[in-house]
Amino acid sequence: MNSRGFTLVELLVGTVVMAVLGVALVRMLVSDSRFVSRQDAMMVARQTSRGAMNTMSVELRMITDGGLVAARRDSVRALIPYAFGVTCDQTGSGQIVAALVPPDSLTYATAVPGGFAWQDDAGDYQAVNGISVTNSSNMNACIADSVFVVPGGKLISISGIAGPIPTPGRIFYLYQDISYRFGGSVELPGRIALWRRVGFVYEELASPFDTSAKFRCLTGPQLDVEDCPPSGGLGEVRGLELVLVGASDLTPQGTAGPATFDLTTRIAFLNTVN
Amino acid sequence: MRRLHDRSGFALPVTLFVVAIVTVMLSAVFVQVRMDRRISESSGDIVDALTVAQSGLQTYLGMTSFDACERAIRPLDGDSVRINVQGGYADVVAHVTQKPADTLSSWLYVVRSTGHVILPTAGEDPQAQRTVAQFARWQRNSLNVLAAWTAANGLETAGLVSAPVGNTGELKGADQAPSGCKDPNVYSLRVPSGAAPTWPPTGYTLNGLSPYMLASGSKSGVADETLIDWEAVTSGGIVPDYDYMRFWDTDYPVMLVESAKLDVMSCGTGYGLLIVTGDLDFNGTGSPCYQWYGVIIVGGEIEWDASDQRVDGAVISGMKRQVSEWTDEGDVDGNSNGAYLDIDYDSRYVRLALKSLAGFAPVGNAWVDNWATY
Repeated sequence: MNSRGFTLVELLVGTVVMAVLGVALVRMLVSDSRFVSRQDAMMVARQTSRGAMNTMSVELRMITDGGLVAARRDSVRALIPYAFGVTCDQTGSGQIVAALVPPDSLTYATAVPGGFAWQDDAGDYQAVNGISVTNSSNMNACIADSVFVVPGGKLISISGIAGPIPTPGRIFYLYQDISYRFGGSVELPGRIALWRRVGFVYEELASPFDTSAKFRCLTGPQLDVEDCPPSGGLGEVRGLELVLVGASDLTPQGTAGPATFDLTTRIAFLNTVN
Repeated sequence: MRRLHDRSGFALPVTLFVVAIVTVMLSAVFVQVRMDRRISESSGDIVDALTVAQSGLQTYLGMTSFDACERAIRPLDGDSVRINVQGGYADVVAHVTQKPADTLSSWLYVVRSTGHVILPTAGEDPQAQRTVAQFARWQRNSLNVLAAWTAANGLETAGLVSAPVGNTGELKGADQAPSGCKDPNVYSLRVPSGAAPTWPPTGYTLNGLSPYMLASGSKSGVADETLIDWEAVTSGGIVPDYDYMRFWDTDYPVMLVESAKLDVMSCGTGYGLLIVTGDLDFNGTGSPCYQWYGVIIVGGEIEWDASDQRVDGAVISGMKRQVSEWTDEGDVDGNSNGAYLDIDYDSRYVRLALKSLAGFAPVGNAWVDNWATY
């Protein structure tokens, strides 16, 4: 049996070769790991932006003329319809019966009623806060005015109406008073979250966002982009530009800060007289 | 001596190990990228579904059917239709939400459209769906015609019997529409009390509701009786096809001429709805010089100064009286000796003139997203 070992030269050559191969292997693994980390972070950022957009676009699109209550760089507040209908007769002091066309059941069940707005002769909506809504079976109040409940719709009673009572046959909607605001996150302290407030209920809708996330106003028939609030006042606003710059919760390997994804989308209010 | 190929090496296991790790990591990335892409496509499909739903809704609102007499056919309660649009199809349903007791008022509908996105590569099942709705009022192509010529501005008492001389014509209140399409007869002439020409005129053929001319009420009252909202008409309530008077367009367009006085100098044949905010003056020579099929509505007075002018449909003048604006009383004879004026009430031409105004008119600020499917 030959028991001769390696020579020094063989060991040195072997070590050098192993070192070169090792460094190359480590670099490849590190690079691959960073790639995975960056992709992961980017997807988190994208999902943050996209999730916020999906929620907001449905609600904001239905804003009517006069429904935008406030708009700033970091927040918007609006009266957002969640159910439409036609008014019937007055059934008491400050109380009417109305026929709702079928609302989305989940939205209706989870809505926090902020008030109702009825359309006057000029086509403008008159908003009334502080009402309460209950189911009604008083079909006669609608039959008298030839107002029909369409299949899937429901009769409701609206009480606590201060001010003028809408005449029968008016289109109206029930609304939620909803605010969206970019502010400090609770789930990820030190980061920015998008908050949604309905009534007195606050909800952290999505997080984290980059500090460049903001709202911008679309004004006039051409939907010109302006900083909110626009110089001509909220009456000119015909839509919002959502600059949803989502961020990753973690800083990907090999980068100085969280990954960001800029999802900028424009939501035109489809219930305005553009 | 042991030969090298007999020794067990470690290059192959190491290589396999590294390849396995890299494969696992890249596979994880690919899976996540695919998921992300699928979510992105799903979001896109939902947006596409909204577009499809909206396209279907707009298409339905623009669809108006007419019977053989050109009457717009009102959709029944629950009328439904599937509309194919690019990228999918929309199921549209219209429900009546209010039927007014007043038969002349419009019915209120809610029209719901559910858009389905179909990708040919992904089978028959919709990839996404979205429902939107719109309140809309059903408008008929009808007008509350009081007479062949309704002159809310009134007509001069001496008209028809004074100079110029030898003028003749027809003022027919009996509906001249084809048999089976006739509406009830109307008066030949409807004027306010105290602003009527000497009656009956000589040289004119009259028919319709007896006594052919009704002279009663105030000037603004007669304008109100037409049920035309003149303020709305002149302040953007009607979107015209042309803002000038146009002859020879057999599509029965809507023309809205905003002018203190429109002088028409060249003879021709016109079709449709002509609205003039001020006065209208026909001039020229021909036989006939002017022929109009449809409706002429004028804010001020109409001067029939051409040698031969004929209208099949209806004529309304003096609508400015409705908004308390002053306008001259009119005249039947014009200033041309031996002239001929022929105004025949024809409900079919009235309907043709108003055809483009019939159908669903979306109620402003009454569009709904994310509607329940019912």
